[in-house]
Formats: sequence, structure tokens, C-alpha cells
Amino acid sequence: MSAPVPLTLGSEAAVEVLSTCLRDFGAVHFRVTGGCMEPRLREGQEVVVSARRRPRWGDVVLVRQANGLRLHRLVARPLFSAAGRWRTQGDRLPGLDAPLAARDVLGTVVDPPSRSRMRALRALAAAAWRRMGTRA
Amino acid sequence: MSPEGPPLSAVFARAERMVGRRIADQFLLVPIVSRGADVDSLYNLNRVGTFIWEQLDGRTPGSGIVEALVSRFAVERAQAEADYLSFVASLLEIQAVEAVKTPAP
Repeated sequence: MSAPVPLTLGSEAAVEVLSTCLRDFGAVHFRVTGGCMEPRLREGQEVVVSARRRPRWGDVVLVRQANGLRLHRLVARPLFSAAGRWRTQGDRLPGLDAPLAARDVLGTVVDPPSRSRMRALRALAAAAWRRMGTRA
Repeated sequence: MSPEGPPLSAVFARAERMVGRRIADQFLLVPIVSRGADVDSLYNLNRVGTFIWEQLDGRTPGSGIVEALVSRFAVERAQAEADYLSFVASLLEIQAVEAVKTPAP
């Protein structure tokens, strides 16, 4: 039989498929799984992620992490170039994700609009506070 | 169209909303929506499906594609016909192909 089969992606294949689709078509459209970005993004909500828009502080971005793809908020990025460490965090998660390189930031959520500088600022301040507490 | 599926004389073309891509060692059909690729609705084609997909050029009738299948995969004509018809029926179901009324020369 040669019928087309709906594809369920493993995490490695998902990275390759999403990266290729973002590169070839400029944007991808999919449904959110998980609730770590609620209430901004709900489980099952459709989002559009674009590779055409430069990720800015406060945006929700699609990133490649060691444990797979995540839609998390960009809370810190290098100021003057893409080189350096990028930091993200789920809105409902207590801590920052592991540092990322620019190549791990695959795209920016453009629909629904994703910017919330207040949330990004709060997450960054909380991370700095925790770090200070650890050092004291 | 007959209740069993399209006749072999029918000509089909790949729909503009569906793009074929070879990614991660697989041939995928990627639906294009208004704002990009819909990666929740990808389809995977096997070798025979990929071959048929590539032949659906809006000019070649089903009988021509069946001939190509027979010579490429060394299968019985009846098997090739059955495979082709069921594949095209699946593609029609997911709106990946469109019937062409007047095939391009």
C-alpha cells in the first residue's frame, strides 16, 4: 500500500522538519502542547511561528533544547549581536532554561502576538535574585 | 467518477496547497496554509507513493502512471492499478491533488 500516512514526529525529526519548513516556507503553523506558557498560550491553541521576524526580548520563541522543542519566552539575548547566550523561560516555570546559542532559536511566535516585556523582566529579575541568594 | 474511484483515464495535478519535501530521510507532504506550513498535518509517503506523487503533473493520465509503475517497480499491472487508484483516492481525500479537466499539452 502506498497511502499517505499522517506523520507523528519524534523529537529529532521534529527539529529537522520544523527547521526545514521554517527555512523553506518562512513560517509554520501548529498546535501548542503543554501548559507552561498559560495563560498566554493554552494547550491545543494554534500558533504561527515565523523565521522572518528577528526575535526580541519578551517574544515567545521556538527553541531547540536538549530535551526537545519548546515555545518559551525570550528573557535575555545578547545586546549587539546574535553571538552569545540567549535565555528563555516558560511563563509558569520557576527557573530559566539552560543557555542557548542563536542557532537554537528557530523562530518567533507571531500569531497570537507574543510580546510581554513585563513577564520577561519579572523572570529575569527573579533569576538574578535567586543567583544573588545562592552567592550570599 | 465511479463509486470505486477515479477512472484510469483521469488526469490529476498536485494541489498548490500541498508541497512535497524530502526531510529527515522521509518524503513528506506539507500542507500550506495562509501563514506558512501546517506541521500538525504532515503526511509521509513511501517509495511507491513518492513515485506516483512525482508523476501527478496535470498531463499524464492514470494509465500512463500505471505503466510507469509496472516498469519501475516490476509489479503486476493489476497490482499497480490497485495501488495507484487507492493512492489517488487517499490524495483526493486530503485535498492533495485536483482533477484536471483539460490536461495541458
